[in-house]
Amino acid sequence: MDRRFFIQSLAAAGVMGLSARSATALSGLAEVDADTSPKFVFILLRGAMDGLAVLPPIGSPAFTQLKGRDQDYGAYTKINRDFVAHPALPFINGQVLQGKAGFIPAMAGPYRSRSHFDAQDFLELGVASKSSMRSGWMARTANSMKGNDSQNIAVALSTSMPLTLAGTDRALQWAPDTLRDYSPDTLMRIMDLYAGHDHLEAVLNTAIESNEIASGMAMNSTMNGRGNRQKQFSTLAQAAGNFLKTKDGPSMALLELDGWDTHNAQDRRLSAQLAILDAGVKALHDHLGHLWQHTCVFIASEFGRTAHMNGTSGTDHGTAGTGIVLGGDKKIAPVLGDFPSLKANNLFDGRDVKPLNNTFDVIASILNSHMGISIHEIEKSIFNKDVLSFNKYL
Amino acid sequence: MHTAFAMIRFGVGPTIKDQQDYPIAAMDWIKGQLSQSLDQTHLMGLATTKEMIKDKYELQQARKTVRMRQDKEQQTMLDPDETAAKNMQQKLSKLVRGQFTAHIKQAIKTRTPVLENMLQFWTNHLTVSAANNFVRPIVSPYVREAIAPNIKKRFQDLLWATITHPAMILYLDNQRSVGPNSRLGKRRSRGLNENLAREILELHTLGVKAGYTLSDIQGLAKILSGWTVQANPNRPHFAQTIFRSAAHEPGTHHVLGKAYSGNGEGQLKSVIKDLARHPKTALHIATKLAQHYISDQPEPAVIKPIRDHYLKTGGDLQSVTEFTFALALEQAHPFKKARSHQSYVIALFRALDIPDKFHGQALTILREMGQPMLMPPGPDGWPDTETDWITPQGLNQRIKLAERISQDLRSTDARDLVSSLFGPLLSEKTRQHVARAESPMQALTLALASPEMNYR
Repeated sequence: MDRRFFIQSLAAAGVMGLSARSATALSGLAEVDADTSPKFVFILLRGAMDGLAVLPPIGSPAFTQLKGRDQDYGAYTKINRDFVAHPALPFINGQVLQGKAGFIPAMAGPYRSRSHFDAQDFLELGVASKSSMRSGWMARTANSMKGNDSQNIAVALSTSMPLTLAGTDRALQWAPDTLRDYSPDTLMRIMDLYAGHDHLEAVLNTAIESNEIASGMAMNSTMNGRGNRQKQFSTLAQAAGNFLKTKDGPSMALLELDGWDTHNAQDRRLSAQLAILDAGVKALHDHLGHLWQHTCVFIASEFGRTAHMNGTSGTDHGTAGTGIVLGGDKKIAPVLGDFPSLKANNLFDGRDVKPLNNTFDVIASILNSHMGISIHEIEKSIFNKDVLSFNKYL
Repeated sequence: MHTAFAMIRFGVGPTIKDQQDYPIAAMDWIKGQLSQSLDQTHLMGLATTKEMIKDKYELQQARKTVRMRQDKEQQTMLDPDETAAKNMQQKLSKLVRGQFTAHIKQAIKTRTPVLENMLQFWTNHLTVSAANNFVRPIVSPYVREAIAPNIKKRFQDLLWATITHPAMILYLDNQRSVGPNSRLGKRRSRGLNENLAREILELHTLGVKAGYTLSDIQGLAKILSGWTVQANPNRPHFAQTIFRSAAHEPGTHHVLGKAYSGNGEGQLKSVIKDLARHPKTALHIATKLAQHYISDQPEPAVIKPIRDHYLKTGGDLQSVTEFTFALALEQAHPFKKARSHQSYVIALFRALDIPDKFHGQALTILREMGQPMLMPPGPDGWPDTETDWITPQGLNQRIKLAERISQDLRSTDARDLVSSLFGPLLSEKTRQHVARAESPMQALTLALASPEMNYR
């Protein structure tokens, strides 16, 4: 893979810059055509989102017995008899209640790993274990879809091409030229890394206190910092919408959002993260307008988190988490797939939610029933038979 | 002390291939490095002082023509001379930028990291700053012609080559310095310019408050008078430093209690040799070397042996540097010397093996971080301690840079990277933080923001 390397100026221009390859795509902005061909957006949440906190299974008797899970869910959105959804997802929850979106709990890829590095690779490559696979599943999908023309089929709204789209010449990558602030999670980890160092710790603290570093950080979760990340993600989501709208433009888009690794202070941090996600999905929805019904959005993380909460008001790496699917023109049930008992003897490895729904099955279902790719083709070119369980979700 | 320490402390930034040399004992590795010739592969074919001065001269002529025409109000809309002047200016700027890019590329790709570090040290000690527009075109030639060939010689050789190079003469205004009693001085009532003399005493040799007086500065200035640069392309020795006896203050001059008679090269060479060998100079240089290689506040017990060795060897820089390294191996601790921004950026590019075509961006980054390459604000060069570089603003910019690069190089495995770069010196804390990152990009950000990356 060609290692492309862009260092944007540290003095942020604040102007949306376009790479040469994307210029033609966005030039079609003026003509919003009635391109009703199916579209697919995959949002990859890096860091492992806590499925139980996003979709508390209050109907599950053992749920509130889990450490830390016994809280007041009064403000949560009731989506069916057994589940409520996190209040920081107003738009997504609204779609769910209208039958235009659904949650997939107890969802995991067929791989078993609690390493972010390995699991993200597995998720992006679409494999169940370490293999010689070098291309991402979305890249293979693009290769499957390519006709005789040379148009781009997929677009990654990132500063560099993610693994999910590695291995195709039908993908382009685009991100605006503005400098992003580093995420609160990264900043926290750097603070921890510097803790105890004679000089670095003090200097970093000064930098934060004097607002040198504006980020939605722990002590004062300034709207400023979180606002920046929210703006960034929404900008990328809008850009995705623009790409998908353009005539002869890509029909698949890939967005990423990090910051989900909530080992501590999960309540506050997850709420902030979900707000950013929700705003981005809404921005995408608003931008697609009447094309939303032709678009399917799938949101997933590399794995979920522990059923019990830990000693620092957070959770640790788990197995099954929660996915979200939205859009399309067919009714979607609020909760898809199966959900396991959360009794102690039924927890996976005695700690995690048992995985019952396969992430790749969800993707395969979307590719098949929404994007119109045959099962035969999916098995042949995109997902190896051994990584699928062949359950249908849409 | 493990060889990795020597490679990191005395070099310009670890690479993932460094491990190959771990089996070599630290001192043997050092000796091996010092016995080589400075790698200047990427500086080949760059313009000389003469070529740059010639270009500058032609630009000045072109501008003169335009100005004359403007004065006579003969200027037309599309004045071809003005366009020619502009083009020349752009060409010159591009040339200079190309040279600076070559220098940073050389640092990033050097096969002689210890010598490269020494080159940077002496370039800083004997600063000619490109912040000065006048000398900017000849800073790169200065480094290549006056400093590079002398970093392993005696200090007096290095000092002679640098203070008589056209760049230093012009940077510190010595071309204007005229002895009041010289032929030219009496005719045109011009006077001495003390700038070069002062900086030689204060910055290059004895050091601040080392016991020299105003009278010593003046004595040295008189000896230096008449040393100028031939600016006329039609005269012999164009673009070279020449001694113009008509501007030289006649007579015997005194510096630090010693008398210097005679004229021309001999007189200056004599005082330069004495200054280079002066015990205070030895102390000054020993202190700077100790600060650069051992610790921010070096102890007298560390400085004195270096000073003594300097005096014993007559200022043999190779020997003195090796002696300093040996002391560092005994006394210093890893990752206690903060990298300057320049050191950090070069180390980053080396560590990640960033492709050549992006090396020019390193210059832009350094400019934005406030340490533009070869452009310190004054002749005293850049400082060399932790509090100078690890500042709230500086640290923020480094972390932002780390994050930025990580977004673009997501396929780099940061866990392997830190292990290869720092070997046995990698702290468990950094290793763990990198291993526990929530994504490959974050892992790389943490690696590049780590204490191991920010310090040497």
